[in-house]
Amino acid sequence: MKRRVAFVDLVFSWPPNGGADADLYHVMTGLQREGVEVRLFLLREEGSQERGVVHGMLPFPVTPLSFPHNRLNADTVAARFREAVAEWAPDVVLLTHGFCLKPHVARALAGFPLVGRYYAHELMCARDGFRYRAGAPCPNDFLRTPGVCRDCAAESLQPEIASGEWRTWVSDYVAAQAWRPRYHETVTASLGAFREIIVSNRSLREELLPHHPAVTVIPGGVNADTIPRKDPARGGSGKRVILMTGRVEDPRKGLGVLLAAGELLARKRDDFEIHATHFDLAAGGPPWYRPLGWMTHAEALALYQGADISAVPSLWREPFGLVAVEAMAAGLPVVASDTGGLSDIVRPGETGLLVPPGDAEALEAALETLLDDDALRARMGAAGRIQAETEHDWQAVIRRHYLPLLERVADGRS
Amino acid sequence: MDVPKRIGLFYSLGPHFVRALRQVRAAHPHARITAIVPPGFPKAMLEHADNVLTVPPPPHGLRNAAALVRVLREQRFDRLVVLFDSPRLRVLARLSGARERWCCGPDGRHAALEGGILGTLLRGLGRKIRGHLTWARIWLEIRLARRL
Repeated sequence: MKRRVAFVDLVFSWPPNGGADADLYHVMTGLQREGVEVRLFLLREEGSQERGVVHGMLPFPVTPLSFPHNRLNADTVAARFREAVAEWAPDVVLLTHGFCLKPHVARALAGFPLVGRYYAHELMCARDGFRYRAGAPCPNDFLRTPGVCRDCAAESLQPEIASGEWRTWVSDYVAAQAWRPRYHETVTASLGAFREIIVSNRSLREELLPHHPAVTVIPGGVNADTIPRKDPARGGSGKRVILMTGRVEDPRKGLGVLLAAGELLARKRDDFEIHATHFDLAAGGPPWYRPLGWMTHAEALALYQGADISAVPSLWREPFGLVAVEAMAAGLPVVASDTGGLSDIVRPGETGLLVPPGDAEALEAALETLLDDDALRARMGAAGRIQAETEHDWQAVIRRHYLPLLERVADGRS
Repeated sequence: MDVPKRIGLFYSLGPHFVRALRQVRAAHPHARITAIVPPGFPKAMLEHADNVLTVPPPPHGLRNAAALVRVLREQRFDRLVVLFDSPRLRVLARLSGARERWCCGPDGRHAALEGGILGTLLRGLGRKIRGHLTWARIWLEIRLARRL
């Protein structure tokens, strides 16, 4: 008999608003291909353009639960999701993306074989889930230092709360009354509702293990065969291209560090260019820097064909690091910050090099190593391609991680 | 609904603007698209616009706002596209005299901006009041919790 898996997502929108939406889509469609019956239960906040809005048809069944803006409170949301999921009678429930309402929904779903999916630092940061403040990763952790994090969240969110124009995070913060000391108890108690918890990297797992015995790392994925491979015939200008893609305009992504490394490199050599999918609003940068402007995902992927090195100089603890995997699938060596999911993805000396986040000199040295050695770049690129195909292709992620986990949980072996 | 021939796109600073400009161009290849931007706006972002209208930069005080509305009305747009759904931009879109008013959100979704000026102002005021009351409650609860 087919397994029935319910996905409960409190933030999902389609087209995707972020990596978590795309991840959920690929997991659900991948499980469908493996013969699993899936259904998505999503929260629709009336009047919001940010969550629960689905344009077009999704290839799996969806049950939207609508809530008027002024009726979004933790008890109502939790009860409605419990009722709707119970009616469908799934074998396993996966509670995927959500913010401050998620712990309440988790507790309401505790009677089901429940798995929790955490995409970033939602459990550890009451402010915005990024755990990044004043230009650096935040050392605090809501699970360990709730008082500090509660004050930080209230202070940071005050202008938006008072303005009355609330994004999803603030809407959840208010609905879940996350400023109250009791919210911390709800969060810690909610962890007990999960049979297993899925996170994206090993460092998140280490941080959660003191709070839950079964934390599994499942990385995100790519459709490796759809990513154009590096074309050795491209790049005829004679310059080596160091490429940075993704949401480069986000300061947490570390473009400033890459440009500082570029300055250091430019003092020694002129055989490179740094390309970034970014608009340089202050026109007139250094001659070795080419901001390529905004482009679609497909256009950005095509850039790998003409690039020699992929740079991922993130300053925050990237939960996964999709652009690194995409670059590897394209056959490029990756120079990345040694943080979060990037530390798991890039194998130093094998598929790329890791440098301390924010260290322009170390980044410059790593880039120089690769610029100097054509054979090393080719070897790392080929190894990266194999790693992306065997470990990060969606089909491999589903078969290697999700199917065994669902079997374990459905059979009560967690 | 008639096909819009004159479309205005009110700027935002960032990749969102270019994506919206591309989408509007793709949907209306024959329309005359005017990018409404502040002075010094990067030229590289205006590739798909037929015309560039430079308007006073923020902050938009009352005098600036009146000048902005006057300039927009002179353009006689069939459609004005704004890039965020905020009460301020809704009012501006309404005052622009454009027959249709649309919002193209940061996630790429398009939606018509319905409602008149009074409704928009009242809704905005309602949200503001709710926001201030909510914050007052949070502030009070946090202070009380610290004392206990």
